[in-house]
Formats: sequence, structure tokens, C-alpha cells
Amino acid sequence: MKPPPFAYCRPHSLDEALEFLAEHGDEARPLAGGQSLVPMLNHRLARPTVLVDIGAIGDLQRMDRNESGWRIGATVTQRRVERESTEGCDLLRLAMPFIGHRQIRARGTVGGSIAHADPAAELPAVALTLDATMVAAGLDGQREIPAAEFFAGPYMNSLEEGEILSHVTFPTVPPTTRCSFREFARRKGDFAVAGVAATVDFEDGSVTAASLTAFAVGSNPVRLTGAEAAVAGRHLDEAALIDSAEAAAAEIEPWDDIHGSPQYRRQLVAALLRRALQEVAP
Amino acid sequence: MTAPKARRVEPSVEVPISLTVNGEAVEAMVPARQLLADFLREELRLTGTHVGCEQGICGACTINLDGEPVRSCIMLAAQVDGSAITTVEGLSSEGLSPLQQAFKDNHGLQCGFCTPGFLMTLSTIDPEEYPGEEGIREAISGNLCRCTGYGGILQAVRTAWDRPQDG
Amino acid sequence: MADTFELGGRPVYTGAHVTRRQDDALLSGQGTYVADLRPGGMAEMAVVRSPIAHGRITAIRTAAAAAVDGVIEVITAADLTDVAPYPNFAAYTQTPGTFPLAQDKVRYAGSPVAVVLAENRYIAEDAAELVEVDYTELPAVTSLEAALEPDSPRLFEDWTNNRLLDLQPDDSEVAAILAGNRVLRRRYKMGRHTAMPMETRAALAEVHNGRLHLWCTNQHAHIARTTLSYVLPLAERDIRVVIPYVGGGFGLKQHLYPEDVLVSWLALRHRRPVRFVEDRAEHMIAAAHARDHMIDIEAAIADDGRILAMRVQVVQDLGSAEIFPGAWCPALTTAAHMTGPYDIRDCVVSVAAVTTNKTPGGSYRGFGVPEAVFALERFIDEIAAEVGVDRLDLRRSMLLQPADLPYTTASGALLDSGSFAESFERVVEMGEDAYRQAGAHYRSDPDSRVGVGYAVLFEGVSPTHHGASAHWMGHESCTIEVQPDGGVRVASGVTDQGQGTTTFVATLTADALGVPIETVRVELADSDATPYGLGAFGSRQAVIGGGAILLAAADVRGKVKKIAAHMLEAPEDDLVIEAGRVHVAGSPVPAVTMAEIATTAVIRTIDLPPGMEPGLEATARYEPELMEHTPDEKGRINANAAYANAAHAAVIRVDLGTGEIEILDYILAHDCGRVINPPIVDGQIWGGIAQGLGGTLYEDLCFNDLGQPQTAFMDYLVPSAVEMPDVVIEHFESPSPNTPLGMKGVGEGGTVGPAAAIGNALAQALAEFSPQIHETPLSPAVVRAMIPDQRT
Repeated sequence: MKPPPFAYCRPHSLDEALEFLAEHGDEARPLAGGQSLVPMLNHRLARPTVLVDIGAIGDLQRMDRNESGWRIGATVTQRRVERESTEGCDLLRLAMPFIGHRQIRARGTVGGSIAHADPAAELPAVALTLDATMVAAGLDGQREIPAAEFFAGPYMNSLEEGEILSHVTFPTVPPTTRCSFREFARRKGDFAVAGVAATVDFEDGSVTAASLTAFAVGSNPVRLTGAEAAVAGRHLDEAALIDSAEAAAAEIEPWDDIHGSPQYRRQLVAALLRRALQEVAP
Repeated sequence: MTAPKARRVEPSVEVPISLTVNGEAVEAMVPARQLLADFLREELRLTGTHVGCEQGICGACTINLDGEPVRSCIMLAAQVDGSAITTVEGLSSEGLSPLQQAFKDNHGLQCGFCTPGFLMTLSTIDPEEYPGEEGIREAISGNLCRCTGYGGILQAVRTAWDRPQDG
Repeated sequence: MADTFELGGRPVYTGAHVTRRQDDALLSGQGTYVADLRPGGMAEMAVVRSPIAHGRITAIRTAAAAAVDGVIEVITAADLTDVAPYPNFAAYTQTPGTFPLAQDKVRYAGSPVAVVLAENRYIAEDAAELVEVDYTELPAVTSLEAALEPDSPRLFEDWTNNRLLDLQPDDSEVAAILAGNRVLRRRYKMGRHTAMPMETRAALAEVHNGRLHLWCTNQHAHIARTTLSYVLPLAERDIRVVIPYVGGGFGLKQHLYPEDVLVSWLALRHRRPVRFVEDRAEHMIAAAHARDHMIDIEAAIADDGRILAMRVQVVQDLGSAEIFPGAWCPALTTAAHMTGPYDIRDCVVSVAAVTTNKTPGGSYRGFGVPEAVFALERFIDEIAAEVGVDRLDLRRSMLLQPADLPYTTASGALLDSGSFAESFERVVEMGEDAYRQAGAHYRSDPDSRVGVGYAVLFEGVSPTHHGASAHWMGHESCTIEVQPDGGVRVASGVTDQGQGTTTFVATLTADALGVPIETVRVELADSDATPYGLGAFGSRQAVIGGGAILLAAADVRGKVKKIAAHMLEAPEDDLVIEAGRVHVAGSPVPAVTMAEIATTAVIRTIDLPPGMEPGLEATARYEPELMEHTPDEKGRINANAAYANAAHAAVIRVDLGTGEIEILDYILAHDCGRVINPPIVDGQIWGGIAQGLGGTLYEDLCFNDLGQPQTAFMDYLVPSAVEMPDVVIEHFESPSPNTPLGMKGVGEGGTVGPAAAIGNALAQALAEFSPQIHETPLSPAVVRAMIPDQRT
């Protein structure tokens, strides 16, 4: 399990990194924390001939709050997000401990995880739930991609060749918004067998807005629009919980693997969503 | 303050690195694809860092990199240019550290293969961040042991962290 | 028997918490494992493995790989003209003809087909990708049921079927009892597991002065040497096998693997050191798998549920059987344990071991016993439910009581001691209490159900051995030498994979000679430095290795006393040895030291008693008298030197939403006779339970219909500290009258019970849904499927 041969560079500016990517085309890949890419290299499942390490680019290591939310540079580590305040972004804070183990989070990056688009990963689900905005940098400038359009299939994103995911903006929510992040994994730190993320707003006990997402049950994290509709305007009483859980189970198209059949994943999403909604209910 | 503009360095299959390992300065030219664990083991001959899976799961290769526990099997040696690393060989300059001694006193190891990974995780993290009995288990959840069933390891950590067992 | 084996004096170290010898090195990263060795000029090996499960090799093209810069050679089976297939000494089995590289055919995905030798592993892997192999695919046999079908494709075309072993004993007596009584039938299955030591396999071969030196992770230095001599064109005297620090074995490292032969062959050919370090991806498919049993029980049941007679069929899935000559021995062990510690006089077991297109089966801690315990203990709970009697009372009515001992089981096992009923009652008391508390705690949680389950068992330890050598034997060896300075060198054929064997050998030697433990140097696992021994398997090293130590020590001690009597001019019988000094009992001075005695014996023989032979050393071998190696005409055999026993209780909570089982309490009462080192015993139990729990709840090696392995390392869920519950251990000590010091083995008691205890707890927790619990693993998905979706 040794990586195939490649050339490596570690540019100090984003422009330089983009130049290298442009020069080497689809033979090149950016390397952030490497917590997904290096295992894939070791398995020889990824075979870039040039690795552009973006870990030394200062611009990508910034994490700050602006009027629209938390703007997090691509190579900010998960560990740093876990440690530092992300006030107004509780869902992000709640999701962090579920990402691998401490040793993974120490190196794993926010941008790396999102760009990797693992269907079972936590950060893509958080991004989708919060309607995060991805900023793609290219030699021609930057463009913004809404989370709903970013994930393009299992391990696929909608970056163009030569683009780097430079930042992600996670919108902050008012303190009254309640959120829950639930995941079922076989062992502590394993990838989810199924997971659910939720942010819900209430007025007088009734749901005024709900953003519900399931992950690890299909090609990409998926918004549970049926379940969202099932709780809209309602008190989260037993009947509402059941309706939304059943709607969620019905609307997803889960995959099959040795940890669970599609039927099992439907049951899991129903159970997790129900618990998430119980948790957020006022 | 802006960083000085670094010279553009083209992609290369050999990469110069300079770093500190167990307090000593190291300079080396490494193959771009060489895993950090292999660099430590095969080049520096620090074979206490064990390789159990090469996919970031078992934790045997855990080292202290700039104050964080990381898995050296899923990092490239080229990535640690400018860093400071501690391996199990650097844990104590004389005798056993209190943590190592707690492992010895509490039968916290059998075959010893996973042990350096546990020691490096535990010596790098802050116990305050892992309160209670549950915290101990959480702290070592990224390190797998196949011999002990964790009983002796848990007891060793309780001892080292001066934390009596709940209940 | 036990009188022969004495410590010689009051034990100082035996039974105490003696800290382990290797810990200082291991804790500071100084333990040297095979992969840490790097002799000058070393080359590394990578193996080209079959990507398909079953097929004929039609062509192998190696030129592109051989042309890679840094590649030394690429070899295939055709190059191994001087290598012999592994011999088969078991005339009653069909022969797989194991060879290090696939000849003509591949029979599992992962089968070694070619080998690249290169300057380092990176280059070797680059080149291995360039070896092109053409296959004609054949239909794959991927389950034991399929392998049993008469028209099943055959893995070995010269065989008559896929049954490597097929023993169908006369069952007429049991059939008659079945015919006259109520009969209950159940089928149980245990999943496919593997030991998964944290250190993968590794081997390093060098040629020194014309001899082959092999450093490897094998559990037996001498058997590895002997078996290498079977397959390589080398005399045994020209082979040295050394086993340095090993990162866990658990049975998986019992076997001489193809790569061990290949590094040796390449080192001999190229006259340079050759290293192979298996990577974890290879380990998943090319290191031995285990378990994968199917057990059918038919039992005649009395009105009160008691089992009157049993007819059992055990079928073991061997995979391709191409690694381990004794791959089928777990099925025999299952058969030997089918009656448990119960008074079931009539039990007949047929055994079949079948080949399938999966990774070859091998040894793994438990070795057939977890399968038997799971089947029998689940069966007893099912009888109780079916007949309407209490499951605990049903066990009580059949459990062996002290007055029943010694008791010979239907399979011929001689249970000479044990605390079957007592240990069971203890865990029941504690288990019921814990269950009540759990019930109270979760009463108001609609998503939780709790249950408690029990398993009570005996396990044969220190068995006769077929395993790696394909012969039968059960002895162990020891040489003790007192050197002129009074220090002791002890060399034994036992080996240490991390269990603490080295410390155990030092402990027993020090006490048996009456010397400080610091003065004892232990040498193990070097075929040049130790007498021929069998090494680690079957929880045997304390019992059999200990016996050899005590015999050798008794010899040396006798001579020490004779010399001391001469020097002190005192009667030999009045002397005691303690702390390295010999004096008359009751008066510590005058005394002679071990150094003075050894100096006299070795380099100042002028002072020896007249006529005494110089030297102060002894070599002994111990083979237990009552251990049998061949069955009688009815198939009965006492295949073990001793039988340990245990009782398990698991209190669980089931999450009705996710199907997850949480272990709330795990209680184990264990009896391994005399305990030598309490923390080491506890460590064995904890570790054993972790592996048993792993196999019950988490671990499973899956294959699809094409025989493609589906379980990568990230999916083979070795439990972490978060998954592992706290364990309460209750110790019982029923010394065996037939073993040295009354010791029994401890290595496996924790592993064999969890599947049964947890399965029974689950049955109780989910009783309202009448779950069918006949298989492991009890993964969340499997458990969730037992629970109906409810709309409340």
C-alpha cells in the first residue's frame, strides 16, 4: 500500500497553485489535509502525476465571520473549527466530533472534506442543510456555487478542471433557530451508516422553517423536502414526528452495502430524524 | 504583515525537507511519494512508529506533529517541511515518563504494537478536553488494540490522569 | 502426577503481579518487530494476487514488470522448480497440494500468482501492477451450502467432491433415542472472522554462512523450520528461524504462509536479505480467515426440557484450504465441545469441512469452541422457551456438579476438575441483579429493551496438535543452565506474541530454582538457541511449557542441593534454596550462593562431590500423559491436557430504532486453575472478550456471489475502547489434579462465550417480537430486521 509515483509542489500563493493545476490539467490534484487523498493514493485508487499541496497558502487558512456567516478557508482544519468558536453556526459545531477521530480532524480540512464529496461525510451534509456557499477559485477569478449545486454524485463535485475550492461560507442563523446533528455509525468515528442534520425555526411552537438533510443514504447528502413539508406549520407532536419520519424514509433512495440494506437505511433515517426533531422541539 | 513572496518551486519527484524530530534538526531529500511513517522508520530508523494499516484507521503510527496527534501513514514526508515532530522515542529522555510507567504498572500493553500510537495520542492531547470515564474512551477511540480489550489501557490512563473510575 | 511438578519452595513470584519483561522496551519504541529489521543490501517483495475467486491461469507476462528500474526479478510458480508442495499426513482427508504460488489455477481472490523482488516496496508495488495475468474464469463456490451440493463446481478437480474432510460416525444409538422422544431441531451459523493482529504478517530471510536465517512472525520457530525443510531443498540443520517481537498472533500466525517460503527462496537465490511486510489490504484477503461454521442440532428432549441425546452435524467452510494443513481442525474441536459442561451422555457429531472460493481458513483464538458454545447455549434457551421451563433451571438440571467429577464427556474429554455449577450461579446472581437495575433504568424509554443472557462452558486447553505441521503431538521443552556467576539462562520452545510468555517463563524458573527473577535470562523463539518445542497455540504454553520448566528445574535443583550439601557438609534433605542461596532450613548461615555452587559445578569441578558429572544444566520435555492423539473406535478422544471453564453473563440494551446492541454489563466467571500472574490472566480475559464481542456484534468477512471479498479493513470493525464495555471478572481456581501446579490455559475463555451470552440476552430483550437468533453477527441491521416498524 504505497502511493504510485508523482511529483509534488507546495506553492505559497493561490495563483501559483492554480497555475500548476492549469499546466498539468487533469493529471494534477490539489492536496489539502490528505486524510482522504493519501489513503486513496496508498490504495492506488487515485493516480495523479502531480500533487499541488495547498497547505502552505495563507489565504486558504483564514477563518472569519462576516455579515453572511462564517467564511472558512479551504485548508482550515476540522480540529480548528472544533476548537474555535463558530457562534451562530451551531450545526457546524455539533457535527465536528463525528468527523473521524481527533487524529483525522487534526489534519483533515473543511475544504478537503467538502470537495471530496464523500456521501457519508458530515461536512457536505452541514453545508447542504445550511445552504452554504462554496467559493471556487480559478485563474479567471472566483465564482460562487450554492451547496445544492456543488455535490454532483458520489465523490464528485461541480468544480471545473483547474479550479480550487478556496472558501466555504456557512450562513449563521439566529439564536432562536434550533439544530440537531445525528449520525449512526458502527463504531465511534466510522463513516455514517446514515445521518440526519436539522435546523428548525419555530413561532409559538409551530414550525416556520425547517431544513432537514439526510446523508450516507445516497450519492450525495439530500434535503428531505417531503419531511420538511410534513412538519411545516405544525407543532412537533407525535403525529408530526411520525409523518416526517415516514416521509423521509419514503423519499430517500438509499444504497446497499454490508452495513445496511436500503430498507435498513430508511429505518435509520426515520429513527434519527424523529430523534432530531424531538431534540429541537421547543 | 505579508509573507515574503516565495520563489516558485516546480513540482518534483524529490523534495527537500527540514524539520525537527525529537528535538533534533533533520534535513533530508525525500521522494515525493514517501509516506511520513516510512520516512521516520526507514530513513531516520525511528521504528517505534508502527505501521498497522496505511489507511488512517488503526492509529499505530500516531505521532505528535506540531502539538497535534496525527497519523503518519496518511501523510507524505514532503508535507512536514518546517514542522516539529515527536515520536515515541522522544517521549522520555531518561527512564519511563509517568504515562509510560502507568501503562507498565497497569498491564496496559500486551504485544506492544499499538502502544506507541496510544502513548503519542495521550501524550499530545489535553486531558481537560476529555472529562470523565467517557472522555478517556473517547480520547483513545482513534487507536485500536487487539490484545488487551482496553481494560489495562483504560486503567493506565485513569492512573496517569489521576481519575478514579466512575461508579 | 501433580507431585512430579513442584516449585521446590515457597513461591515468591508465582501468583504475584510480576511486571512484564518486555515493557520497558515496548513502551519506548525499542521493541524490534520483523518489519523493523533492515539489514544492509535488503530487497523487498510484493505479491501479485489473483483478482478473481476461481479461474484457470492461461498466461502470465512479466517482462514489463521486470523492466522497471529497481526490479531485481519477477517470479511465478514455474520458477519454483525445486520447491515441493506441502505434504499431507492426514490420510483421511483430500489433499489441497498447497504451493507458494498458484499453479495453473487460482482458488480465491488474493491467491499469490507472482512475486516481484525490488530494491524497495514502492518499486515492487509499481512493478506488480505491470504483471499481466490471463485467466479463464470458472464458476465460484462461495458458501458452505453451495459447496455441499453434489453438482457443485470443484476447487480441486481430482477430488470426488469439495469435502476435504468428511466424518460420518455411526449414529444408530442416538437415532434410536431420537426416535422414541420429542425432538427439537435447530441450525446455527457463525460468521467469518479473522484474528486481525495489529501487526500484519512479516518475514525477512537472509543467508549466513550458507544457512537460511528466517526472521518471521510465526508462532512456532521449530515447526516453521521443519515445514520449511519440507518445501525447500534445504536440510533442517541449514535453517534457523528466529521470531523477534510479534504484534499479536491469536492463531493467525500459526501457519507457514506462502510468503515465508518465497522470501526464503528469493534470499537463497539472490544471496541478499529479502523482506516481506504484508500490508493491511493483503492481510484482509491473504491472511487466514476463521469460524464460518454451520451447526445442525437434533436433540431428544425430556418433558422438563433436559437433553437426552443429540445428533449434530458440523460443517466448516475452509475457503480454498490452501494455507493451513490443519484448517479443518476447528470443526473437530467444535464437535468435541458440543455437549458443553452438561451431563449429556449420548451425542454423536458428524463433521464435514468443505472448500470454497474464499480466503483459506486457519486458526483463530477459540478454534471451533465459540461455534459450539453459541449453538448449544442458544439451543438450551430455545428448548426452555419451547418447553416452557426456566432457562436457568434447565441448565441447573444438566450442569455437571462437583460430585460428577471426574467426568468423561460423550466426545471423550476428561473433565477432571472445574467449577461449572458454581461459576454459573455466581454470574447468574450478578447478572440478574444487573438486569434488574437496567430494567429499572430504561423502563420509561420506549425505544429501549433490555435483556440478560448467559453462557456456561468448558474449553479444552493444551491440545494435541495437528495444525501447522500436519503431525500429532503435544509436548514442550525447556533447557535451564546455571552459569558460573549464578545467573540462569532458560531456553524454551514456547513463544511470545505479547501474551507475557517471557515473563511467565522467568517467573516459574525463578521460583522453581529459588533464585531472584532478575538473575534469569529467558531465550525463546530462536530455533538455534532453544530445544525443539511447539510454540503458541491452544492456550498451552503455561501448562505444557510450565511442565517442561518444572521438570528441568527439578533436575537442576537436585544437583544444586547435592553440591551444596557437599559444600556445607549438611544433609541434602535439610537444605532449602531461597533468593539464590542454599542453607540449612531454619538457619540462614552458613549458606552457599548459587554463584559458588555453579562455579563449583562448571569451572571449579575439583570441589564437586566425588563422581559427580560437571555442569549445572538440564533439558526436559513434557508431554501430558492423559492427552490422546488418536480417537478410539467410537471417535472419542481426550485431545487436551486440561479443560478450563467459564460462565458469561451479558446485560444488553437494544435500541429499537437503530437495532444497535449496547452492552451494559459484562460479567465473566473464569476458572483456569492455578493462576501464575493475575494481571496477565485478566488481560487475556479482557482481550478474549473483546474479540468475542467483536465477532458477535461488529466483525464479519463478507463475499459476494462471485467470491469477491466485500470487507475492507475499514469495514472489519475491530472494537475500539468506546465499543468495549467494562468487564467484571470473578475468579475461581479449581486446580487440575493432572497438570503441573494444577494450571489450565487462559487464552481463550473470554473469546468463546460472548456470542452465546449476547444472543441469549437479545432473545430475552426482544421476546415480544419472537426473534429468530441463529446466526452471528448480530449487527444493527440484522437486529433491526427482528423489530417490526411500528406506528404508535
